[in-house]
Formats: sequence, structure tokens, C-alpha cells
Amino acid sequence: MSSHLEKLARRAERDPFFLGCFLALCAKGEGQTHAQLASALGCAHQDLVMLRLCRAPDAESPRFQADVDRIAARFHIDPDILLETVRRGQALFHMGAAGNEARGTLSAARDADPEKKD
Amino acid sequence: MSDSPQILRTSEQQAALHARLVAGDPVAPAELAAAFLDHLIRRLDRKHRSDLCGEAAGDAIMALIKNPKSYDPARGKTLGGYLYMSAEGDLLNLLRKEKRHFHKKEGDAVELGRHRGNHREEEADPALALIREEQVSTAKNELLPAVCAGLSEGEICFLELMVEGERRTGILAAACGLSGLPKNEQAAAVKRLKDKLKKRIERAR
Repeated sequence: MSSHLEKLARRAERDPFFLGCFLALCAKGEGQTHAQLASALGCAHQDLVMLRLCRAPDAESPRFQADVDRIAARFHIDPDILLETVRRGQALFHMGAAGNEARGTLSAARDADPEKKD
Repeated sequence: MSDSPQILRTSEQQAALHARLVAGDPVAPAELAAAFLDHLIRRLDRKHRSDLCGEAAGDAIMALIKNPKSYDPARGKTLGGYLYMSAEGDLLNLLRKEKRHFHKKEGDAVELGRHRGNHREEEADPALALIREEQVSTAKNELLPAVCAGLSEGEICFLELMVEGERRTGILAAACGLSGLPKNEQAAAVKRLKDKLKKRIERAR
């Protein structure tokens, strides 16, 4: 697997369009390296690079399960393990987004507090 | 382990992958990147010899993944041809941006030097700088279309760099894909192209 593809997969980890974003969050939550994540998913490291570049299944879409199955079948991994990993990654992503929003609201409220101006 | 990435030799294979991308197949983005990324970087690097080839190829692939309908097979280009064209455009933009950044740094340094001398008054008037910039831009807009007719993309990039005041042989050579030549041949080819473009500019005036 080329180093360029690995670089592109790293870039995909910053974008929730890609499965790599949720896999990275999941691995980070578990304190796993890429090698450990590949092992947990039951795939080779080079397949993990490809997995990270797949489009993330949309949890709101009726195609969600079919997309998880499609990815699992393509890379010969257990669909249940992939499903659980994707769901965990997406939950962590939404928790992070909600946390950022709450921090934004709090700081806006602090800025608007007239007593703080003195 | 899964199958190794497929090399898409035929336009039918490329069209099938594009159709899967449009249909939202979750595996298609990875297969597109595996099939084209290295190939694009090699092609760009052969012509432009730049460290930015990887970034430009990545940008083109990511853009197509996000907006697969930006490629229209009915226009006659293969998917590979479209990606190359898009990546080369991205690369030329990155090269221009890098050059502008470099010039800005150089300009700041020159400005600093001038302020120590006798030109403070002139440089302190931002209106003068704006007028000069406007004059250069007007000249470029009026002249360039006539001069550019019939030139290759590399020659146009070369011309734009020339008009912006670029004088370094290496950068001018890279813009039109001459970086692979030995230095003396590069210099000669750059001079020939400069002369040709200067004549065109004279004729267009």
C-alpha cells in the first residue's frame, strides 16, 4: 500500500464523510494504535487504509445496515464488529460536537453577561 | 486480506467505478483513490517535478469523491483524464499560491529596507501602491487573452509568472514541465520561450 494512500487516509480521518473519521475516534477512545484497530476489526493493515477511505454509512439512512454489510463483505471482516465500531465512533463524534456546541453557548452567554463587563 | 487495488485500464472500468461513486457505494471512494492516486502523482511529477504533486492529486480525488457529478462522461474525457486535468489545475494553483507567498515575503523584506532609506514618503501612501497594482492588473487583463491564444496550459502558466515578474529559471521551467532537463538546456529552453512570449506581447500591444 502506498505512502500517498496512507497520507490520504490520514486526511480522511478529519472528515466525517469518511469512515476513517469514526474509526479514528473509536481507536482514540480505546487507546488503540492503527495496528491494534486492524487487529480488532480482523483485517490487514493495508485493508485498514482502504477502510478509512470508504464513505461512512449514514446512521440516519435506511441504507445504513446495507452499507455496513457492503464494506464488511468487500474487506472480509465481521459485519457485527464493524457495525459496533462505526456506531461507537459516531457516538463519540456526536458527543464531541455536542460538547463543542455547549462550550460555544457558554462562552457566548459569558460574553453577553452585563455584570462581567465591570 | 482483500483483493489488491484494481488498475482500471479501460474506460468502461473507469465508467463503472464512477457510476458506483454517483450511486453512493461506500467502497467506491477507497477504490477510486487506490486506482488513481499513485498514477496521478507519477504523471504530475514527470511534468512538474514538484513536492506539491501529492497534495494536488489528493485534492482532485477528494473533490471528485465529494462531488462525483462534477465529472460528466458524456463530455468525452475518461475518468483518469478528468482527474489528471483537475489535479494539474490544483497543482498550478498551489504553485501560484506558493510563489505569491514567496514574493510577499521577499516584498516585505524589501519594504523594510526602503523604510530605512529615502523612500518613506512614497511607500507610506497606500493609494500609490493601489494605483500601481491597478495598472498592472489592467495591462494583464487586456493583453493576456490575445497573447494566450493557442498556447499550452504550461506556456500560459509560464506567461503569467513572467508577467508577475518571476525571473528564476527553475520556477519558470517547472511551470511548463521543463524541470527534467539539465540546467543549461533548461536555461536555453526558458530563454527561447521568454523570447517567443515577448514577441507575442509586442504584437498584441
